Amino acid sequence: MFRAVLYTQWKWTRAALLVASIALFALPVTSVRQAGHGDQEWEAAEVLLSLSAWAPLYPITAALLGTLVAFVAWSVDHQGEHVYALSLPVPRWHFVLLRWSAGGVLLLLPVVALWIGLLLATATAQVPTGLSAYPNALTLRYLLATFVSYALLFVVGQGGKRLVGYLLVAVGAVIVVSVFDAIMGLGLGPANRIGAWLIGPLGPLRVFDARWLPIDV
Amino acid sequence: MLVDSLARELTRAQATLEAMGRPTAGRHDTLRVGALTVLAPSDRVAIAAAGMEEAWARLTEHLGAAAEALAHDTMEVRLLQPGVPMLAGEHRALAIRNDATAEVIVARIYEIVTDMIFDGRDDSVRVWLRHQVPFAHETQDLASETYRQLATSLSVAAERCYLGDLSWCREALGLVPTENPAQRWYDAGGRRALVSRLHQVRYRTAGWTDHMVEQCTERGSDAACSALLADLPRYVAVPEPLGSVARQQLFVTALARGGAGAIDRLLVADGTLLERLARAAGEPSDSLLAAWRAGVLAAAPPPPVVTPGTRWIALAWIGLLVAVAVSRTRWI
Repeated sequence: MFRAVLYTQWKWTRAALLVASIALFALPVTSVRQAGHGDQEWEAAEVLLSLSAWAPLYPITAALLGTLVAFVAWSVDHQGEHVYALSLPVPRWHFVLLRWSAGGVLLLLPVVALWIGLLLATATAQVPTGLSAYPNALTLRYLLATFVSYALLFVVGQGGKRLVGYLLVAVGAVIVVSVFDAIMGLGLGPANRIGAWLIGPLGPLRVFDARWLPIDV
Repeated sequence: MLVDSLARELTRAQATLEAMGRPTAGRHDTLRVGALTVLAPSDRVAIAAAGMEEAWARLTEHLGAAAEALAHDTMEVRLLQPGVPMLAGEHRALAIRNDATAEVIVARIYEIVTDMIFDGRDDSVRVWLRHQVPFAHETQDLASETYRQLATSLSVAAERCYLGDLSWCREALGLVPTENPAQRWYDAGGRRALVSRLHQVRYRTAGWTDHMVEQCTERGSDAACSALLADLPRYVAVPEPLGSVARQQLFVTALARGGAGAIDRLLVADGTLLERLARAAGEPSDSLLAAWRAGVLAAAPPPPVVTPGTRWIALAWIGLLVAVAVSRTRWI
């Protein structure tokens, strides 16, 4: 049954996953190549500066990839009002695990593409003295970030429009309270506090809070 | 319109001058902690006293007997309204915002006092430090920034210092005179990068021709790069391998290793700057440089690997969210 679920999710997401895989392979190759100067000696400061300009693309694509696969996993089921899932001879929790695992397996494809791109880019780079290449560390961070956002959005996607509505109301409330707080000078800073918790030591998005550089000091 | 604008600026300037010029209006109290004497507004006495005690403890720790020389001076705490720009106050007046914390007061007192100690006694150290005598407890920030400079400098002097050759550390820190720094501190790649950077600031390189710059930056002619760097105006120096932060780090390293009386020894010692710093540190110059380098390397930022803690937190959240997804009983 897992193969059937995996195959249907592959059909729904394959175009996006292939595009993402090619883009993620090209990201480190292009960024590292642009940081250097052909066969001339590379300058550490310029390498870091150049790579820093590309760095935000790693966490952004990780979040987008997780979001995309999570929402696609549920969108067809929501449209069909879960008739397909209810017709299967498995309990609900089992079906949810199948969906989650299938999405997880599919997410590995672009992550592996990124890993190969990073290995290729850093192996062919003239890393300046004082800097080191971190292809495996960046891949591991990317993998964890993708799966955290996937797991988070899987729960949201599973809840359908109702849960998305609740979340939007909550975000709107935080914005309104933040504006009120700023006008009145109360110093509550709700948005900052929530953001700090999300990337704090125990926050779910902690793995996103890092320097996303394939070559670093 | 212009007249209105000028009138507004005049009013603002007058308000600023008012704030700077009549700081002692209102009731003031005199505080004495150690050799420090500070005149502070009555409503800021508590916070000024807390700052002074902390500052005095640090000053005696690092400056030793030199700090006692302050006994004849009185500093004045001047409070500025928020929004009033921090103009350079008179000598020995702490111009601080009236919402300043004790930590800010400590930093300002330390800054002024170290200035007072060097004033009229020794200018070579201050010149070498680019007139930025560091706050002794900023060592971690200084070391981190020095590491960044050492690891990313264009200069071969900095690179060799990074790799452990202390004689190049002396050069990179500006502790020994260097003839023809463009040739000594930089290799062909570094010279090309320097020309490229300097060329971006066109006013500095008005005498350079596009042809020569192209020969250097595009065609990689080291002869062209060297000629261009030799043709720099007298007021443009070849960039030093390491900035003033690295020097400040060596200064605070010497004081920290020398302990009590370190600055006294620095002020009275004869010899080159490095010999004086070594005297302050109470150890040979190579030991001081090695300690400086070790401190800088130890301050390297952590590599961008995923720490075990971050890894487990991420896995825990993934597990928790899967459990939430599985345990839901509603389909929508």
